[in-house]
Amino acid sequence: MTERLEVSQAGNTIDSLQESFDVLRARARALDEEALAPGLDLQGMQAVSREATRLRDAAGALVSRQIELVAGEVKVTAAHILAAVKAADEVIARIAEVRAKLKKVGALVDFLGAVLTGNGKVILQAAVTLKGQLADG
Amino acid sequence: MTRQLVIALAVVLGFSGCANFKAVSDFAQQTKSVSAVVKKEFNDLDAVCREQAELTIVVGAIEDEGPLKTCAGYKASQGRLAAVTVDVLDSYSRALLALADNRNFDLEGDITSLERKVKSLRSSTGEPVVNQAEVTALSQVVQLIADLVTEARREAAVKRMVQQKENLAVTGRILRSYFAADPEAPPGRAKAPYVNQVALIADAQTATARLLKSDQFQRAEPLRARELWRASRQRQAELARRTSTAPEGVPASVAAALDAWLKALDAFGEDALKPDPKAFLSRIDELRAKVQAAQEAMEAARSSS
Repeated sequence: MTERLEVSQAGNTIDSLQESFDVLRARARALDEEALAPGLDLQGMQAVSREATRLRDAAGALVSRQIELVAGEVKVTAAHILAAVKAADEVIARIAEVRAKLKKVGALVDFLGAVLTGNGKVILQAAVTLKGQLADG
Repeated sequence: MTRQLVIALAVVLGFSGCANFKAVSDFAQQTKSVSAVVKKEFNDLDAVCREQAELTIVVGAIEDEGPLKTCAGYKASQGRLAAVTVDVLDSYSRALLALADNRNFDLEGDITSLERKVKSLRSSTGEPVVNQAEVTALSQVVQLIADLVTEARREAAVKRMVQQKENLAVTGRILRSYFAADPEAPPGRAKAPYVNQVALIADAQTATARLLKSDQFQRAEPLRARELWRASRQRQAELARRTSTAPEGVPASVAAALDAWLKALDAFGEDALKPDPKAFLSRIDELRAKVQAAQEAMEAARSSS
């Protein structure tokens, strides 16, 4: 079933991203744990740590500013963002191989960057890209 | 006899409804202290964030300045909103203190920049959360302070400042919401920005400290790892006081100081112009104690590093 999305009006914002923040923070903490996995060398450890940091930075940006939606574009809500974040998080949690996992985390961070633009069209495109990247491999 | 009666009447009439300038001065002083506490914590948190960001960059071999930009983002978003409210509060307290102490004051330069800052809150993109009612409240307080620069009659000026009680309360509540969630907010609502930001900085601190203690780091660069770990440990204690939800933790004690200020403000509106404002004086005493507790909590966070 396809959801019919409303069109954003001037002054519309994406509110209440706390739940998305909580999921992202928990995933970053899980990555912190994985950075300490015995099989990783120093560079591997730092690579995992960097993605955890990027995820934390993205989570911080989500709750530290008011995201105003571009009027006339698709009206994205906090529930939409949360659904995408949760879907990505579930996929990331299932992946054991570090490099593949970091790739998915990177895709999630890119999606969050699009969210910050407040442009419904851009966010929607990023969501489609994320979905493809999560399904890939 | 008639002359004595006239003098007595003049004294009674002269004092009734007359502002208690000592109490007003005390309140202004404590308002100044509250705004100083908040301002200091913003600066301290920014410093902790940046120090941790530097460490995160070094330990993670990060090539860009992402973590530092995040700190700048924190400061520029909620921090900007809060900084404006702190500036309004600070200017109000200075103007009130000058009136209460019967001193001249010159705030014109500050007022110009304050007006500009408050007006800039109207442009919304990328700006912190502030609704129109809050902007109006802040603007009205700023406008009053600007008017008072030329206000010659001391008591009339204090009365006008008392009339801004409701707008000032808005300022206090905005600041409080930065540090602590509204106790009456339903569960599941957004946490206070301060709480989210400190949680992320503390997570970063824990992560870097553990990486530095890892065999991989210890083997690769033992001396540097030890040195960086010591720097990381310094952050740990500072952050523990800020992530603490205990009443003596930094966010709870700053919120308590703001609560006490809001209560004193309420009494200021009722009692400031009475000759013997008992309830007001009692609230000022409570406020003084809470401000001191907040200062101690922040000092403990600094000295624990």
